[in-house]
Amino acid sequence: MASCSRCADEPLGHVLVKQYLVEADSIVKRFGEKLVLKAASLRVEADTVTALVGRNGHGKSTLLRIMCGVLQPDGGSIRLNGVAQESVSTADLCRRGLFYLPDRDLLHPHLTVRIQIETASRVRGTGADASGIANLLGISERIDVKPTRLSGGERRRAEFAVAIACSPRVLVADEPLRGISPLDAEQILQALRFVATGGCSVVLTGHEVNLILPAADRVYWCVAGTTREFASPLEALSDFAFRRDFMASRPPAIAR
Amino acid sequence: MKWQRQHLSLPVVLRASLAYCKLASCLRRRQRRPAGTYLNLRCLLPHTRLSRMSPARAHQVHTTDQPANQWRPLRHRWSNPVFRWQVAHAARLWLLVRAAIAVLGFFLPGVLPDLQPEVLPTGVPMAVFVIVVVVALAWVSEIRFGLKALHANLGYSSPNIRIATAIPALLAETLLGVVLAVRG
Repeated sequence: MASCSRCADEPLGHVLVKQYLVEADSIVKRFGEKLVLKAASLRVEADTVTALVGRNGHGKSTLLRIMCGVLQPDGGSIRLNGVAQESVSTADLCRRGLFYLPDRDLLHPHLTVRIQIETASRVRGTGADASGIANLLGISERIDVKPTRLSGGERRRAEFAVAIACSPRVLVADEPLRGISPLDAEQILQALRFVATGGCSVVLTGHEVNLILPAADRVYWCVAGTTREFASPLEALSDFAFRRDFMASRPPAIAR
Repeated sequence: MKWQRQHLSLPVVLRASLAYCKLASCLRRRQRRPAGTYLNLRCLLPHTRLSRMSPARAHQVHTTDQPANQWRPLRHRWSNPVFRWQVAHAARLWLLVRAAIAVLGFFLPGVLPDLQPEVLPTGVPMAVFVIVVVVALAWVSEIRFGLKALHANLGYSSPNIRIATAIPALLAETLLGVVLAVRG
């Protein structure tokens, strides 16, 4: 349970309210006539990995973008450390310790990966070692090339290296495992677990339930513009509707 | 004179020089200030804001107002390669725009109302026109290269970046205007 600094001097018996780092509550968003989010909520606790899973077009990325200030909601509220925010920009949130990793390319195409990791480290004042982070993500041999010369998996790992160099309080990654091999995905998830144990909360989305759930502490299921919260991956897997949505298809019968 | 004798004795001057050298070398290496530099300076420079605080508060300011993981734009803006690239790109765009205007002015005089048969048209309206075109092109590049997320994650908002991209064009236009005015 997070400590409440305002309540430090309260007498005994005072109930400590659970405080979240970032809280998106009952978010509503429409694009034109289409209602994308009806009442979606997402709460990020300290030092946890939160998985937001759901099928395509059910509003996962929209919810993340609203939470990161890329889009403004039509209804609902965003709270940071329990304080409601009227309208926040991504840059403002990033200055406060959030890192938003979009589903598309994040890296600068004309600067080498090393320069970008070092820049992130310098701007945040973390003093992170670029070579060490590259080693952690298995891209140490490709650190001195420009992102345009990297493969898809290497580029994604390089993006995570920049994110880790910033040492954020909250790392929000939109579909980090999309289009990359299982081995690369494994390496990224290991790195995410590593940063989560180091005091960073991670939020990630995706459809790769069999990869994401073992790495997650809490699960949110985004379905038809709403979200459903599960306290653990096991609870999610024991839910019939959740299983039916993600685990209905049998594995391909290759070896007969 | 009494104050000078008290405060500018040899040990004080030596300690001040040492603290200044430490701070300068630290800033040169783009590292964080060494622990205690502020407190040393506090002892040496009696009329600063820190000196009016209690030692406990001064220590708190020193240690908590600048935590390790904090966005520090002013120290890093010009040493930031991402920001520098953006500004260099804006300078390249200015050259491109000016070259295009020169070509138009030379080969197709009178295509634009302001473009009389001169190769380097100057004046405030033309300078404003060039700066606006450069900023618009830089914005297009930012979208094309997908740099908005990177800029935001480094703590730079888009208006900030657009102001930065206007700086090279503004300087170049001013310089061009001055040079042409001097040459008559």
